[in-house]
Amino acid sequence: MASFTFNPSQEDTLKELINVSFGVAASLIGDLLESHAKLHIPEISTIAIQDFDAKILELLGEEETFYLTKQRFIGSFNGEVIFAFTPKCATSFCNLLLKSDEALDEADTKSSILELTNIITSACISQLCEIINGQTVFQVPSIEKRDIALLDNYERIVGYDNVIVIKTALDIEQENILGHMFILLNNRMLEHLQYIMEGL
Amino acid sequence: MIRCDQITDSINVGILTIDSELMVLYMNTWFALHAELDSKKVVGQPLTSLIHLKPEHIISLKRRIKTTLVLQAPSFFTADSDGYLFPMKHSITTKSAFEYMQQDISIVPYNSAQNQVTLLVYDQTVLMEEKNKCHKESTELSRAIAVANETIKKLESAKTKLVKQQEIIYKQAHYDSLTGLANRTLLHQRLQLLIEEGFSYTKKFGVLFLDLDHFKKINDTLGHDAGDELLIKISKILLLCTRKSDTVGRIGGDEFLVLIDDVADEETLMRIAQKIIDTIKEPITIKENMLHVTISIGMSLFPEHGADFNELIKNADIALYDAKAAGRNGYKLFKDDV
Repeated sequence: MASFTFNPSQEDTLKELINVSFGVAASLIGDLLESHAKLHIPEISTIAIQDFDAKILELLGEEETFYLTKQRFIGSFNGEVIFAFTPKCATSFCNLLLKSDEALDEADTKSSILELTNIITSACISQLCEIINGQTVFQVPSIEKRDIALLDNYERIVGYDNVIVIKTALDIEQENILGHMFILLNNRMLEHLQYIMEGL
Repeated sequence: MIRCDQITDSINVGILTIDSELMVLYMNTWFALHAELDSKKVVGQPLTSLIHLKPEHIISLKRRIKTTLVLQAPSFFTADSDGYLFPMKHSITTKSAFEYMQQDISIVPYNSAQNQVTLLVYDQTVLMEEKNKCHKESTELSRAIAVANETIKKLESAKTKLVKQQEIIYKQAHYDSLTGLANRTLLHQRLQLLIEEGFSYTKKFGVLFLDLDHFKKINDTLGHDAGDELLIKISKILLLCTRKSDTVGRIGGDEFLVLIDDVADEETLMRIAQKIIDTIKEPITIKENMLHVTISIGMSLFPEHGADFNELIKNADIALYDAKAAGRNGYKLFKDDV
């Protein structure tokens, strides 16, 4: 199945909306960290849901493991947001958030990453929800550490058709925290989003 | 008129409304019961004076309240990564891995203008117990699989060794150790097979009995090493002069046996013998000595000259004796009147 694509004008609009959301998220992250934070202008692409694992491999293939967060949002605007981080980036962010130079435990890392992804997810999804005049409720997120070599063994994500892939590069102090955001939507949601963006 | 307080006091979720300074505005019965507090006496009290919160939990709670108020969207604590925020007794009556209730907490905006949020606390202890159990079982299973895989690997390695040993034993039992040609045992088996096929399909085949002329002289003058080297070179020549379907064997010393499969007539057998004689006649270099070696060949043909192994070999041997008597460096086909 071919992936859904945005035309250049729709892609520009989406990029602008995500960029505004990233601005809000970066400002809050900087505030929480008492430091200057910058989220780079996002790089956006779309893939079919079937290509999700292949995309993970393409982006993180050199790693042995990675952190994957999942958060569903339900309502008239619904879907799921997934983030993927390398262990190194996850640890770096955790150290910054908890202001620690020492190695922190797995639970701290997971909790910190969930806090970061929740901020970016809330900022982006609320923005998209607002422009389509939709309503959405965020569900409790989850996080797990996955083994790249065992990608085929994890349960498949069902119920979505397409994925908007957004590269998230966050600069804080001397650190560059690179993550990958995936917004999973079904065709109906994407078509609706496309229609609305066309009119903006 | 819906009585919201009656609903909030009867649901199985903790509800706590606080402001960004952690002053309590509302606490439902579930929360008060699990925190061992009186819900009517907590309003207006700082949360930290009512419940013991770890310093790092206070910091992260304030951070998440700020996120909720700024983004007007929920923030979360999860049992999976945070365990618990409020040290409450859990409801599990059996032995538990957890000291306190494992909690998923959603922090949602309540009154943003006054920096107020509501915390919804879900007891996830049972779920986490199950998850822990699954994780433990999965770890044990992984360990068992690893042990099984290791055993399979060892068995496979032992099997490979065994197959190799079998191959070595077979080779030792069926091939000549010096030349790598078939030995007497294998020749016997192949000849037996040819005899059976010969009877079934009325097929002819030939037996060539070869003996190097004056080989003893070479051994005596150049030594046994040179003699062995010559035997190896002769073996290669015999293989080159015959087809893959034929069998070349060494039956001892300088004696060779060649089984020529599917022979049309005596002429064919003679052509092959002559080819061998001509090729061996070419000078052979052994230890920097150029040797001129000749060979004598005796031949028998199935079924004309015998119908079993011993008869065919015996008659080929008789023909060989005849070839030697005729001056060597030649071949003779067995004749009944020899």
